[in-house]
Amino acid sequence: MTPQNFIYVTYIRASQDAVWTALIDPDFTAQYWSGTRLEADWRVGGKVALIDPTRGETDTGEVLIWEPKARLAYSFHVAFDPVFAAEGHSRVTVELEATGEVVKLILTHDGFPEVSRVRDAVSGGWPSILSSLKSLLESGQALPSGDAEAERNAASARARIAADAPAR
Amino acid sequence: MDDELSFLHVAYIRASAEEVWQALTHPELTQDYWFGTRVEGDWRVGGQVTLNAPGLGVTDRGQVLVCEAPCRLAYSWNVLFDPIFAREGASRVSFDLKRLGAVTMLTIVHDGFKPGSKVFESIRDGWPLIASSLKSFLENGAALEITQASEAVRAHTEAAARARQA
Repeated sequence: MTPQNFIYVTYIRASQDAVWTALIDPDFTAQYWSGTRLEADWRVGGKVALIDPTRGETDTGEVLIWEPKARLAYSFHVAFDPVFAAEGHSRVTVELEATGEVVKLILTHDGFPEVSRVRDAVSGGWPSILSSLKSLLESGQALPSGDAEAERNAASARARIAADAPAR
Repeated sequence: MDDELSFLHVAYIRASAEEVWQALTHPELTQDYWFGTRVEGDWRVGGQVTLNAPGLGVTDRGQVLVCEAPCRLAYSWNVLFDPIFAREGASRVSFDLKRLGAVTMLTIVHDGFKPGSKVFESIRDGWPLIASSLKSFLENGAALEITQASEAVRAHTEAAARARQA
């Protein structure tokens, strides 16, 4: 069985510039990503870090593709959890296509090992993050983070329980 | 685990589950965000469902499989407007709605495809567009513009053309 990639497509009524800024500016990411700041040295080879408001640096990586306003990719290593961390790096790619007054955003998260708890966790996380991004750009208001975050944490907990289970 | 084709899309929408349910089951609402398509259903298990697209008439037809307002809705899905798609027979779409405070988590699963399904390729492009437009419609009162639907329709038509050539 080949590991499944995670792919999410959403259409956002905003300019390509606005969507791009929302992706790469930590002050922006904090608004729709439950306070998470995506801090990066945006050039190929530059460092990427996700900074959680309470837990600090949760994920780290390196910029792999940098094509302003069109495409970016970075490696993704979950640092905050030993089960996730043991999987090594996966990869996040975001592509933007402007079509009329709407931007098509395609997020691909791939490069997972055959059995991946990280994939399970991010598959639960990205839809809520990107839904919140769309709400923020279209209405000026991100989604309330509490419930979505609780759902993500539950998904993460479920993944960890599943990861622990075979060892017992 | 098998390799059965299955499409999954999750969207979080700032609206109640009842509002999302209404938007999925009322043709006068679907036509606002589903690029003119009226989804008409006799919403009880076994009831008929038809998708009526402007200028195309009935494009898809199915039968209600699950109807538990406002949490779960599923119907079978026969594409009628294209002979290549029609030949594949019925697939199945299901909508799960979960209330999370002020937000509803909408999970769309479309499965039950034949191996190598062309319908799958087509719906894979369509659902994110419809779900995005639905979210905009419910949150801002304005669905996404028709130009994006044209893109989806074009993709749909191209997929059908590719299928014919194959």
